Amino acid sequence: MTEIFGGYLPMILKGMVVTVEVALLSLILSLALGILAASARLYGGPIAKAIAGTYTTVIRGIPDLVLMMLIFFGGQVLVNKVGDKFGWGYIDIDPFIAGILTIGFIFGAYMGETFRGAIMAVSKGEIEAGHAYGMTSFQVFTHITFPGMIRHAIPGFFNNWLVLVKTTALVSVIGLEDMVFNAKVAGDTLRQPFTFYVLVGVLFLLITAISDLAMKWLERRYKIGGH
Amino acid sequence: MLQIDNLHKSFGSLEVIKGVSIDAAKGDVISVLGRSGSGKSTFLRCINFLETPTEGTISLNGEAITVSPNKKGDSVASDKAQIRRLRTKMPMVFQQFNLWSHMTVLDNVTIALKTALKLPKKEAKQRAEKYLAQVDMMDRLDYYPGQLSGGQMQRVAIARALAMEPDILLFDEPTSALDPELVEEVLNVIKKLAEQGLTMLVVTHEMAFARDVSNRVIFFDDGVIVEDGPPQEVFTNPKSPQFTQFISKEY
Repeated sequence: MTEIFGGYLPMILKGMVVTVEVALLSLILSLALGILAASARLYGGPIAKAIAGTYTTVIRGIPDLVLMMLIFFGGQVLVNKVGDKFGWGYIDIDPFIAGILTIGFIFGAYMGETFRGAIMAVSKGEIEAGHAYGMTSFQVFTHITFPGMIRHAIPGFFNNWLVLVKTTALVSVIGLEDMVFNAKVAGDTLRQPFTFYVLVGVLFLLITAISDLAMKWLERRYKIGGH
Repeated sequence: MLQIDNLHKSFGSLEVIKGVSIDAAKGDVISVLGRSGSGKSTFLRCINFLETPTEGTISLNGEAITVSPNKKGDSVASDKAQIRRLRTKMPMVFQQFNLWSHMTVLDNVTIALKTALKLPKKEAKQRAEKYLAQVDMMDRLDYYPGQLSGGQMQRVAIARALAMEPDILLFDEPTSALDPELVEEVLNVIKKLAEQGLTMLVVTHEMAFARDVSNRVIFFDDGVIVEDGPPQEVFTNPKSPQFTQFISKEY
C-alpha cells in the first residue's frame, strides 16, 4: 500500500493529523468568539455592539488568504517592532499557533452571525415565560435561549465548519506542514503532483463526509421537539 | 391579598393604563374584560412585571414592589431578586402557551421548580406529576409541546403555573388561540380551579365564563376601569354606557 505513494503516505497522514488539529482548535476558538460576538451584538451596550459589529463586518469582507498573511507576516513585524523597544530579541511566530489564531478569528465572525440569527429565531414568548416564572437572566439563557437556539444554529454551524476545514489548506502558505504542504513536497519530489493532490482531495472528502454524518445525528437529536 | 394602587403605564408618549386600582382577596376569581387595545393585557403584564409600570404600587400579601427611575429616566424595578420571588407567587398562563419547545412536558413543569424555587430534583418531579395529573396530562410526560394539540399545550401550561403553588394565577386570554372545539377542555380546567378556591385574574373574551365562573367582573375601557362588580350585577344592570354597548354587541 505504502509503495503506491512512493513511501510518502505516512507523511501525508501525519499532515492530515495537523490539518485536523488546526481545524478542531480553530473551531473551539471560533465558537468562543462567535458566542461573544453574538452576545455583544444582541445584549451588549453601544460600545460592545459597535466592536462586535465592526468585527463581523470587516472580517467577513476580507479574503481569508489576505488575513492569514496579514496576521502571520504583518504580526511578525509588529511583534518584533514592539519586542525591539523592550529588548526582547527576535521573536518567531509559530505557524501552527498563527494558523489557529487566524482561522479561529475569521470563523468567529461567521459563527457570531450564525448564532445571532439562531438566537433571534428563539420564540420571544418562550424567553418571556422564563422570566415570568422567576428565573434569573442567566438561567433563562442557559435553560431556554441557548438550548432553544441550538437547533436553529446546526445548519449554519456545519456550513461554517465545512468551509473552515477547507480553509485550513491555507496554513500551508505560511509554512505549516499540514496535509497540503506535505502533498506538495511529495508531489514535487516524485514528480507526481496529480497523485498526491487527488489523495489530499479524497482525504478532505473523508473528513467532510464524517462531519456530515455527525450533523445528521445532531439534527435528529435536536429535531424531536421542533414544530 | 393582591393590591394594585394607581397603576400607570406609558409606551413613549402613549399612555395605555391611566391609573388603575384593584384589590383582590383570597379566593377571588376576577374576569378582566375589554375591547382589544383597552389595556387589559398590558395591565396583567404589569402585575408580574413583564412590563414595568410607569407609576403606581403593586403589593402582594402586604409586600410592595418599588419602582424607581433609572439613569435614562425609565422606570425600573429596583430590586430584581424581589421581582423574581414575587413572580413565582403569581405566574402567568399565556395566550400562545409559551411552553419551552425543546423540553418535554415533564421538564416544562419541573424546570422553574428546580431553578427559581430551588426544589430538589425528586420533589420537583413529584410536584410536577401531581399537577399534570390534575390537568389530565400524565400520559404525555415525555412528549414535546410540538406533538400536542393546543388544548393539551394550554393544560400543560396551567400545570406549569399550578406547580409553583402560587398565591394568585394570572391568565392572559388562555383560550383565544385555541380552535373552538378545544376551548371547552381548557375552560373546564380553569373552572375546576375556581371551585377549589384558587385566586385568579383572568383576561378573557369568554362572556359565559365571566358570568358563570368568576365572582367579580372588571371592564377596561381606554386604560381605566369603568365597570367593576359581581357578574350578576354588572351584566343585568351595567352602570357605564361603554359596558352596556360592549355586552349588547356580544349577544
